[in-house]
Amino acid sequence: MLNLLIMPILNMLSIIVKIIVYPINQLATNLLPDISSKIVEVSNYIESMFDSINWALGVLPVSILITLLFILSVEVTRHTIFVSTYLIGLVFDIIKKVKFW
Amino acid sequence: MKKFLMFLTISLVSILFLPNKIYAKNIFPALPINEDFPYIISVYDLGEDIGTRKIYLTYCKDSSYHIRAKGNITEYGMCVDSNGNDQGLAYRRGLDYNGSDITKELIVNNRADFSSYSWGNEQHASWYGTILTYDNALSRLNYIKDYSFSGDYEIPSNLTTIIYTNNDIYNSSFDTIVFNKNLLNEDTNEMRCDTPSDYKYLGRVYGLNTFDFVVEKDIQFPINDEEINYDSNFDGVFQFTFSDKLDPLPTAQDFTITYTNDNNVPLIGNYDLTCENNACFVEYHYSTTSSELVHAKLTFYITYNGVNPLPSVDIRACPLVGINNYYTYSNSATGTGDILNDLNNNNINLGVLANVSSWLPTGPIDSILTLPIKMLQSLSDSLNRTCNPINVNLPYVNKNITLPCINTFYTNIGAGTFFNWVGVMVSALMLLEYFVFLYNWLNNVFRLNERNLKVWGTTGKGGYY
Repeated sequence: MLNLLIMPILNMLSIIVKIIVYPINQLATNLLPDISSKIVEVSNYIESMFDSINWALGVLPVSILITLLFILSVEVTRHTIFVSTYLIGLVFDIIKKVKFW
Repeated sequence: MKKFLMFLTISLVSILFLPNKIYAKNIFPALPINEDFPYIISVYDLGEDIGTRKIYLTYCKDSSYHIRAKGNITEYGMCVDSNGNDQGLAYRRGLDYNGSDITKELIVNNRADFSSYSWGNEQHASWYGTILTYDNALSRLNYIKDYSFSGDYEIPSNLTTIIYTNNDIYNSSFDTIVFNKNLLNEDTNEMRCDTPSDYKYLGRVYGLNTFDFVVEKDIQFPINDEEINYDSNFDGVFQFTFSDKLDPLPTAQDFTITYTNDNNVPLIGNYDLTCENNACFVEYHYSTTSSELVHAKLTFYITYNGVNPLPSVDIRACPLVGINNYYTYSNSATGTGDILNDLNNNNINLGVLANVSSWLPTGPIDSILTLPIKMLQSLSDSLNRTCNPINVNLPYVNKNITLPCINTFYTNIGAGTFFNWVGVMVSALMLLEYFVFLYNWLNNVFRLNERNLKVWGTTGKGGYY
């Protein structure tokens, strides 16, 4: 559930970041190839360390993890509803000001 | 009184909602110390609920090696040859009860860990590295379950990969299973893919739209002590073919390839994949700055995730070596083929979207900027998985250590149940506080006393909506 809510957002963010920095990336890769490859290598190392989060979460009992997951899902849903309502309200305000007649 | 009743209700509800896997159960005898096993089947039975079982098959890279139990049962096993020397690598394959989650691990430096729930059977060495038909795979799993096995299966030695149906095991769907075998073992200076015999059999797929396989490639250069400038890049081509022409032809987007170097560090984005007729080519790139003899093992994880199911095809692979201006090199290629069988997976697969970001090349800037996002992705993934022991390579001393899961530790010292009950009590209190918070907030909102979004666990306002 949480995965379904969060993963698309994170993927979109990742793509947006990649698109924005693409020209800078190309510049850096061509001008400083050695440093660039080292940065990528170090980043990959750090990224591989993130996979150990799974192990670290194992410190907590399963029941607490499930509870946190549940609370997090409700909170994300609550935020989503609030933001959506707020935005719909804004759009409605604009529509009210438009005179079709 | 009101609060007490609320607490009681919430506690009961939370306990009902919790799965039964908080009760660890050891249903298998301990492994005899210092005995050899052709493989280890580990069953992590985390509860009374049958759905919480996980089965792991651990085996060595070479079929002539065995896993030897070392120390005590809570420690690890090692792949050893007939002289008892450390050899090769161990692999581990895992499957969930529902078949939807396959754990694929390469256990580095011979460490084949197993818990006190592990169990091996040296009586059936013929099972090792052979094809598992549905029947004998079922028997194997039932053997784990019931301590009973009967039947003698004739197993074709030239086949290596099982295809599993979605028949019931333990009265539920079990449509995915992965077992594999070391196949390719060539040691030649130069490999070509000119004749059919150059292509090594990896496995067979039946009407799948999702499968993956692993290919390992050892590269070593320079050869013959040549004076070569090898402070350079390494390029190569890996090719795999299908027995039938695929229609529609797979595209690069249908495949996901990740590969790691010999330190098991993922190398991302440095490949190009093209398909034509019944063959796909993977061009990869490997950089090194070493000025000494370089021996690197690239492990490719290739996943096909096409829209249309593939017909029944044999997958063969030929690891072409690349030659650039700087060096030639020897190549010993080993490969394993495994199939993720997903016969019933005809639904729209949203997982394709998860890899969209890999379409763009990875660069230094975005690799830094997207680190927090990747951390969140790992966190989100981790919350939905059970713990796996981690292998850590210690720098400078080049030693691997395995950190077992904490719940294994608690179980071993006999405090597993206590640990879980503490978790249940804390969870109940957390839920109580959260529901009280939620009730107060909703009450205020509906009474029009509150217009802002309050965030649980903070005193401030969550936004200005």
